[in-house]
Amino acid sequence: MFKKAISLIMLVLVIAMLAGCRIQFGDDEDEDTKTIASQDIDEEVVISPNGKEIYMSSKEGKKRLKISYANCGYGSTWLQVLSANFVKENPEYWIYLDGDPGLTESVSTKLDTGINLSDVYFLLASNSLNYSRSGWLEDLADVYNAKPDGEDGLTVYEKMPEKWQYHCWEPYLGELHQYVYPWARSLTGIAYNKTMFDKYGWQIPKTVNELIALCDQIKADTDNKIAPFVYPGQVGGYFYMVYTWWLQSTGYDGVEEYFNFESPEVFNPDKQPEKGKLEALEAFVKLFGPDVDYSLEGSMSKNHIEAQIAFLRGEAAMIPNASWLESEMVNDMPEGFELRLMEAPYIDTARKNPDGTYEKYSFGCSPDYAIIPSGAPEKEGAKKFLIFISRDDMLRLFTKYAGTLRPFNYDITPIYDELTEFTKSCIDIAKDSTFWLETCRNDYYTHGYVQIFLNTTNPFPPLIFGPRSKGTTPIQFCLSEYQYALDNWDRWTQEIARSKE
Amino acid sequence: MNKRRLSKKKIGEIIFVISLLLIPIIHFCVFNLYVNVSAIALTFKTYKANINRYVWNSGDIFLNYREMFRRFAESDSGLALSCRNSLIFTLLNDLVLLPLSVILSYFLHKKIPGRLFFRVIFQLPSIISVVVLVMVFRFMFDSTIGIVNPLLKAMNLGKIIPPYGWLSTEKSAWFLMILYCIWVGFGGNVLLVSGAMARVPNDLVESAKMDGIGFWQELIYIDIPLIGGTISTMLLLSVQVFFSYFLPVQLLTNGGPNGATQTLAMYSVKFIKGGGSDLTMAATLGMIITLIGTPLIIGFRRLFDKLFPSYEF
Repeated sequence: MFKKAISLIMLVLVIAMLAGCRIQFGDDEDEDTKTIASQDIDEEVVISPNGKEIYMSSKEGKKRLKISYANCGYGSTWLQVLSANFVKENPEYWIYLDGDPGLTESVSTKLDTGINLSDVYFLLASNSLNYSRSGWLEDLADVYNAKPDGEDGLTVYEKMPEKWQYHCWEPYLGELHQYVYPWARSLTGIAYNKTMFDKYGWQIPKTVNELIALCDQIKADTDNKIAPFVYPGQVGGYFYMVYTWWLQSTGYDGVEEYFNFESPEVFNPDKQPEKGKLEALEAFVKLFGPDVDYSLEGSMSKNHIEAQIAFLRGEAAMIPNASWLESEMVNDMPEGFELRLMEAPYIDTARKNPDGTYEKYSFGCSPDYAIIPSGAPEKEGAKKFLIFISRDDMLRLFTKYAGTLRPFNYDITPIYDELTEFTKSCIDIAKDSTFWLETCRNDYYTHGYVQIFLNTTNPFPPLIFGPRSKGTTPIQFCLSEYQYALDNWDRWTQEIARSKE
Repeated sequence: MNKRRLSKKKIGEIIFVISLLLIPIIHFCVFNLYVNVSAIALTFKTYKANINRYVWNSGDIFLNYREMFRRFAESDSGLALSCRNSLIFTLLNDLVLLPLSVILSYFLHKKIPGRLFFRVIFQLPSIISVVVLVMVFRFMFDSTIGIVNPLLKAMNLGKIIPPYGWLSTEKSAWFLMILYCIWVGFGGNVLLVSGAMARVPNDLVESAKMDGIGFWQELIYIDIPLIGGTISTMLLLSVQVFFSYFLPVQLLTNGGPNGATQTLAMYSVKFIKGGGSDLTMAATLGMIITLIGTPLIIGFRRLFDKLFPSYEF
């Protein structure tokens, strides 16, 4: 009897474990396929039920173009729509889409072995330098010199803003080549729950001081039941507004000077550009430091999904984030939830134009990029595809379905009314702003000795904890950076020289 | 004529033996000899990005080794911290998990009520995927959807909840890691020790009971000495925890906060992800671990054999 009871308990436990599994027969359906708007895809284009195969009428006798993409963030609908339009105009091709959330981590093994390569890889931001140095990438000069909008139009290269043009070059054997093709321009800011804001009558803050006042108001109006902020502390917090504040204080040229890394003096907090970084961190501590309580309990221990879910559940009014948020969380958004992105407010020392208005900046995360492997089986088709998606109408379609901009100069007015309100709020951040993203080929940078924050990729936890809890203050942090640079600069210089011998 | 036939037969036998041995030999040469020799050679090379090649460290052949020891000696070195953390996990395994496993196995061996149920409970984490286990464990301690915080608050223990979350500080992250290790660490150990205890002769135990041996005395003076060989092997196997403990830490804390729980294996993986020049450093670290680890393991083997000798019965 006892043994039967144990057996029954074990059976229940095993069934409970299997309850989380989904057994499938045949092709699995891609949920995104159901959301594709039919008006942007020709009815003759066939998309398989699982959303992976896209072709005109049939695949017989056609060249296959295999596109692998990191299936996260901006989703896959935009790629399906662009692929459908590509095969419509290039019916000699059919496209196979291979989505993999872990592609960015696994691609180096694929490139290294050269086995079963895709023709194009759409990756998330990562170190393309290793790929280019290893000779794994196809030179995309043909793509950049092509004119996607016709002979009267600009080349792909000319359509890109200057900062992005710089990014597409990578070295191989001492020479620069155009190896990478950036495919998304992330727009960063502070996402907020507009439904909640409208309900309580909260206003969008223009300055950091107004944001602090808003945080106090949120706590008072909700009787401390709703936190002003939640952030994903486990993955760095997504505190992109700190970099925007740095730009506001130091200016574009100042930050560019920092990334020249001419000497350790760029880390001196008594003068720009490091002074601007110090001011940005001081603004950060006013909102997230140890003397304030504006963040949801346990934020530091949350990863990005946990933090975003807490935000969607209404536990916090705002979350530092970027333009991928809506695409990433669309299936988890409660009914009636209105999501918007506000720009980083202005710090006290933000620079002003002669007319008294603030100099407006927008910070972009490290860019996501596409590559064509040098051993790709269908390189010509891959290049055609990249040229095709650089066309103005295709750029607009990308914005419509991904919810963010592409790193090109193009007019989105024709589709503006078709965009979601969240995407419109993201584009407002980019409007009339000077855009900056971290990209640098300086030897100290490429050898890994220096970066935005000198000897850490995540400076925020010690600033959040403060000195009483084994943390630090902004000035202590900047001084430690300066001292670290002074102590190690000569050694780095010698090692760089040795690596070039 | 017979001699020729014998020769042919002999040749046939030789060819047969060679053909059977060929594949394992090739396998050994490619996946052991070549890989290890290349890795050792890499420790004496530097990656030159401008020519995309690894070149010998002319002038200072031990450059990589000196660099690795310099990193170890740095005051805020991730390498020294990783070694410390790996040592903590190893000692946790040897000094906490193993003794507790022996005691638990003894209770199960003595046929306590509910022993089958407990056996299942202890074994369950061993058969569930590490990813699932860690995910469930994280959810338990999540500040908004977890069950631990509300339980602690209900018991008036809310003060011990870290204000920034269980994974936010070094202390609380370590607490979580240790708790996790204890939760999942029993299964395999209890299985091995229980199996060894089952072999202890009953007549020896009966005879000791007639002499008046107590419950705990039986464990200390009979069971532990007789399962000494198993304990010695388990202690030796646990040494590999120092060099290779990776996945649970990666999934639960990702080595954080700020490298506070990072292990040696995680530190090595970072080099491999970096590529290029970092591969020479990864090879160097591996070589140093081998040079230090091999005599250590031989020494530990002898020590454990002396402390827990094997008996034939």
